[in-house]
Amino acid sequence: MNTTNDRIPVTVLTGFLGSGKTTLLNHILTAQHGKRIAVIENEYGEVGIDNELVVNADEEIFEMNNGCICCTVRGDLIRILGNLMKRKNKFDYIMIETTGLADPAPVAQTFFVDDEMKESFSLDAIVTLVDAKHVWQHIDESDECKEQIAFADVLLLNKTDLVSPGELDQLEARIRSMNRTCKILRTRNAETDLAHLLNVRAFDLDAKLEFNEHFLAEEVPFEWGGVFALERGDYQLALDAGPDPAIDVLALPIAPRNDEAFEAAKKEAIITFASDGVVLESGATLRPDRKLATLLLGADGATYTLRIEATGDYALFTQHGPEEFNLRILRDGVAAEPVRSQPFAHSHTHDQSITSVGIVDDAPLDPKAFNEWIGMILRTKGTDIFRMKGILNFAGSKDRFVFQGVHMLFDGKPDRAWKPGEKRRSQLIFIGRNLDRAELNAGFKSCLA
Amino acid sequence: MSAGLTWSHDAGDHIAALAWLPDGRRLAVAPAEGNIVVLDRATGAVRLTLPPHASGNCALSIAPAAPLLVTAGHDGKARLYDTDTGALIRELEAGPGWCEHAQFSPDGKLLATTAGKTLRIWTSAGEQAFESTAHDSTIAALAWRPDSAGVATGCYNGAQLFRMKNGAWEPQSYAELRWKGSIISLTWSPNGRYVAGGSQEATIQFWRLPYRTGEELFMSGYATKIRELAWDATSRYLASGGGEIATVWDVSGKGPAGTKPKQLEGHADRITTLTFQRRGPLLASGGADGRVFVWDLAKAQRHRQEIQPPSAIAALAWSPDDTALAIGAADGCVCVWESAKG
Repeated sequence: MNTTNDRIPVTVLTGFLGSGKTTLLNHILTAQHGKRIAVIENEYGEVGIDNELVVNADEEIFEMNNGCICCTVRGDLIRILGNLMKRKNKFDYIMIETTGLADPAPVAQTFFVDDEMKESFSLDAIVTLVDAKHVWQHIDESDECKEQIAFADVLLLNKTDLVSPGELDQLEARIRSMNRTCKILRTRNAETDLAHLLNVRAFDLDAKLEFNEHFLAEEVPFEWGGVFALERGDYQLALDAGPDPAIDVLALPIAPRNDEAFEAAKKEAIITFASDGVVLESGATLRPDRKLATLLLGADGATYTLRIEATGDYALFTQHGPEEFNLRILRDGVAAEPVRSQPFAHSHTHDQSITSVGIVDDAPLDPKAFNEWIGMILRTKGTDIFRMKGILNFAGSKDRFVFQGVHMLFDGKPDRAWKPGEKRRSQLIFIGRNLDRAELNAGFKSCLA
Repeated sequence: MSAGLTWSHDAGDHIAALAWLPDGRRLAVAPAEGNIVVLDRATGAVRLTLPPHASGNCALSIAPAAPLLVTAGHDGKARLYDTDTGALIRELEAGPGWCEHAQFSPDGKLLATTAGKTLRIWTSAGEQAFESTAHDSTIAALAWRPDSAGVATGCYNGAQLFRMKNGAWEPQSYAELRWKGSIISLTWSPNGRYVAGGSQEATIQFWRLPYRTGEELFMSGYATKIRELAWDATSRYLASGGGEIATVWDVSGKGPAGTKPKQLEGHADRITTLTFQRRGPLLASGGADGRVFVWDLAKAQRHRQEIQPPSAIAALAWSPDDTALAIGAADGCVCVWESAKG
């Protein structure tokens, strides 16, 4: 029986036509020159590197009925990989490039349902490329675009040279609100350190399934945080009319200008944003006094005076993205540029169907109840859940339980023992369409021991 | 000859196909990548070396009564060779995509090839006689009708039967054996009456001919997808893999409906290949465990053969006189087991 170490890693590259898949593929093949790599592609891209096996195949999806589970799989991949695995000299990697409008689900599902695929290959990661300039045309309308983002383990925001930093921040925040766990990289010309793309082991239950707490923490109540270097005196805080009639803001001094201080300011802001803001109308004065201010906006926007008593660095947290209101800090008509700009996942969404629901709970679970609940969720909501994964704290078990799923397919097993002193904690994430956050949380709570 | 293994040859890569030449004295071997060779049965010496198909070899077929051999591979080509001289007679375009199947008809007058969704039938001289591109998906399985007047192709949603009438191929299939699933293997019984297909969904679809809708049978309960199917010479027994157990159905009388098959146990891992003797009753099975079994169903006996060093079995082929079994392994090893009845 092959262990993960014997299995050949498979990387799936997905993304719209023109997003840079072929460019990325060529980078990988060049850098991995000397390794035996098979490329399976469905579009006639220009894979210009010699000595690689390139298979051009039609994406052939068929519906497989395995008892009560019905799922779609890539029959052509089963056939092609079934052939490629019969080699004395094994391939080091397999790269699968999907067509631009592909739904990644059938590719992933193929590796869950075919025994030969499971035994000889290991799905390493779904890498999605996004054309930062053109994706806005698709991100609201195209199901495939949303699926490709939701399924990503690693996402390349490519062609960053064609868009402004502000647009990139917005795009990243939007993507982050859909997919809370993927790694997001900003690239020009699809160039990035290959260590981010290979040996990711995103589907490997044996890999350390540790979640970055940031992604699964309670969503922050503000959409943007930044730091400005300001001089003593008054500034105009100007806003145009936008999607909402008011915006909560919090300003506070920050020193020194480093990550720890920003984290601390952020934590303070999370708490402060829960309080009632002081309501201000256009023309009023705002100070960085660590109190929440609710800025009213008229039909033509508003201007506030931002009074700075001492030259230094100041953090500003805004309820909505500053670009939605064209929020600027001006002195003598010149806008101050932030020295730090950080978008956060939306805690409310503008009519967005794809979201991630994260659950974190220290209370132990009843394994039987969880099993029944997750089975019910898969049966009834499986079509809308693209991916799920997690680490579970089962009552009465000394081991962590790890699982992952794609639509209705579920794979889970006991993992290592909880270490002495380690906090026993369940962390789950669901990425999908029309997820009912409250229902999922309530269902989870009903499984507690 | 006494029973046992004689020589061993290293073909360089996982054995993709093995086939005996009609004189029973030579064995053609196609590894997954690398040269295709013809070996001497007695000594294992290389008698012919044929060039590989770029990126990989898929199939090998030998004409039953003429010095002709065809190789097929990833380059979408089928090559016809003279087996006396090794000369290339003709290279045929099987179609876009890998040429995964190339089979001479039982009477040797025709050659069928599949590449992607394209089925082509050729004369044994390499002239194209027929083409069908009417398949919905890549053709995953191919089987000749035993009278050489038709072929069956399998892909998603079942199998299609094509035939010749008055010396010409009919443009459309004459029967569609429908099934909602993915057929990955097909075999036609020697008496022409049954077609059996193995599926990705771990079932066997069984059609009695002439086909009437609603009369198909299917057999389930297999552990995994079924690529290994074999009929015995009498058309009574259908042997199937799809797991560690070789399941043999008896289709005589009213069977196989309502019958319990024989279950042959002995492999410790998935069966990879099954083949009955051409005339005799013995069944050979090879597994991913590296074991080869020769089963005598009537006497409920089996002979177990291991190869050294151990390697998963990739291909098996009985010699034309049924006295020898060629064995090809995943590590490239080829050897011949001679039964004592030589």
